[in-house]
Amino acid sequence: MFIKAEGLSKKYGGVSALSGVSFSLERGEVLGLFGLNGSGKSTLLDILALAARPDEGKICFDGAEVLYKTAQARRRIGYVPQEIALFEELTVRENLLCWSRLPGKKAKERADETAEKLNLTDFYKKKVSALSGGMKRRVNLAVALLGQPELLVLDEPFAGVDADNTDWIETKLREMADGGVAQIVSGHSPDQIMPLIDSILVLSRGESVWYGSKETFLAEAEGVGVNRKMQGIIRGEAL
Amino acid sequence: MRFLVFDLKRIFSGKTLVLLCLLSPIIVVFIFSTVISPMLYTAGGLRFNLAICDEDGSEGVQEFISQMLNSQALKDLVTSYPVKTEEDGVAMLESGDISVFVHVPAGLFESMRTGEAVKVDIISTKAHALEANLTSMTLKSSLEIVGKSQNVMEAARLLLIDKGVDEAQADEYLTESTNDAITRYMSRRETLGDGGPISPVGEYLPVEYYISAIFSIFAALAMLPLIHFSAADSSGAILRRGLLCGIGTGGFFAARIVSGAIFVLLVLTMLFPTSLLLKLADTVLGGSYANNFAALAVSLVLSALCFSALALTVAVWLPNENTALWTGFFLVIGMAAFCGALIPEGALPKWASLIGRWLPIRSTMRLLSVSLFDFDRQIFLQDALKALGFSALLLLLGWLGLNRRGSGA
Repeated sequence: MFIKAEGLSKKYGGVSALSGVSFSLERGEVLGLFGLNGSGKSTLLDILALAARPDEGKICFDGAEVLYKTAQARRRIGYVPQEIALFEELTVRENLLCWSRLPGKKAKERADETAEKLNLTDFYKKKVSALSGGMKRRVNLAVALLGQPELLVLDEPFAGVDADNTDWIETKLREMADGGVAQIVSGHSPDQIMPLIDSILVLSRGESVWYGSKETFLAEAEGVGVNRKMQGIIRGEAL
Repeated sequence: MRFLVFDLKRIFSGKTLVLLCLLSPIIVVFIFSTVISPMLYTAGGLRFNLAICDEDGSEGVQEFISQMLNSQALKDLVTSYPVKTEEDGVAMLESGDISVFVHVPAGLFESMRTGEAVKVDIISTKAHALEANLTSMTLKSSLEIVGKSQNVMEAARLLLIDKGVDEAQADEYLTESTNDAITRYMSRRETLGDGGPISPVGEYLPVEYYISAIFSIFAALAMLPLIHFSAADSSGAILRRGLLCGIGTGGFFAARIVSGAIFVLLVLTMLFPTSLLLKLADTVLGGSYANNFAALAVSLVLSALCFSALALTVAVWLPNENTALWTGFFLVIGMAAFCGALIPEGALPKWASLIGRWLPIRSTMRLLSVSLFDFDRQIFLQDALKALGFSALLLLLGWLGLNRRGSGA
């Protein structure tokens, strides 16, 4: 087991944002995380990306608890936030260099390599502010890949992305999964990320209301439809 | 270090913004000196009555007063009334007949001759603080120069006596040469006003006041772009990404403080040529500015650090970018008003002036003023310590706020 999360809970000012969420993930596995706005998806992703500390529960990487060795563990994680976390005033290349953990020459080599991998070379010297929304998403993803992560945490990576870029990003993520990179991808619409994922975790009001493989979910959704089934789970309706 | 370089590149990426920051204070100083101030002077809005009680009565002081009232600074502004006693002057002031009362004590001329400290009282009401300031500045700088000339003349008189010249003749020489020096100095003051570098239209202006005030206000206004950057970064995914990319809160904090301070320094940079011009005025044109480059450099660094830390503090403690920006703007206006940067401190109510003493603009204004115009080690150290204290407090608050934003990570 590559990642194991047990009983993760988090409160903000007395309000429970996440309550006792558990799941596990193998290398190369892609977990789809679903839920309405405010269901706790972003809180869970922040905790998994080690950008926030849970009030209760633990996360283990390869069987070892990581919460108190965050600096080391963070090197193994690539985080793609929902917002475009880039410096608009800098070029694509400068952004890749700015966020790199590597020293001088190595950072440049890795930035070039990542840009090539994500077909960013044509826009390499353009300022991020001059790029389209879809292209910014690509650069956002590229920054997360700079550290060659073992776990990729993606918060709604397809929000506001056109169909071409969605397909392109999906293909890249699938290639990375095939290469052994575990991924946790959040989204609103199951249709959009269903082709990418292997397992599903559904959150409602901070609690895990459905967790299992994609196959089980699809079997349960047969005759009802994937979207309707998902809405039913989220709303607690029996379908 | 790499993050700092890119942070600087970001902040300086807006060429128009940088140009505006660099030139705005100069433009405002220029507009103030060429349009606003002459308007005040020539429109008669500043014309005022002044009473003088000359208890000294010596020829030298009479000559000095006459020259001062006919100087470029005051000749079109002042109508003077001689009064016999101090009580008469105060009574005129209380009845509103005059705006400023100048009291010259007995023995002033003799004290100047012997190199003793002299004191001339300038009495006014809060409503006439600007007129009192103008009179005070003219009188102070004139007295300083005349005092220095007096000392030289006195030394010359003693030398003449030593060489065997008759004491009466030496005294006559002293009186004549002193009067001549006063006349020459006051005339040169006019020349400086007409063709000098500070006031292109030829008016003598209280430059000490408005140059330090304008530059301090612009340094404070430079906080606004810094607040924009810091608020946007610390409330969004940027800070989170930074933490995950190993930059950490410490790296983020250090980069933002250093790049912010460099940005504010840019606004203040033009004070160096200003200081050079004043130095030129001092040595070539006969001005009386005792500026100090080392002190100016320290003042600029302290001011920049203070405003950079304040910008970060505002950005990280307020809930979002818009609130932080508006708060920053009103904070600058409020500080400028309470610290006497918008209106002279003497015209402020006492409570406002007291609040102003505990706001950073006041320290930075005084630091700039002291190091540019009238360097005084004690005042400089006092305000430098105050600015350092403000900076330390704001750095701590900024650090705590940033940690709060990145809490849990």
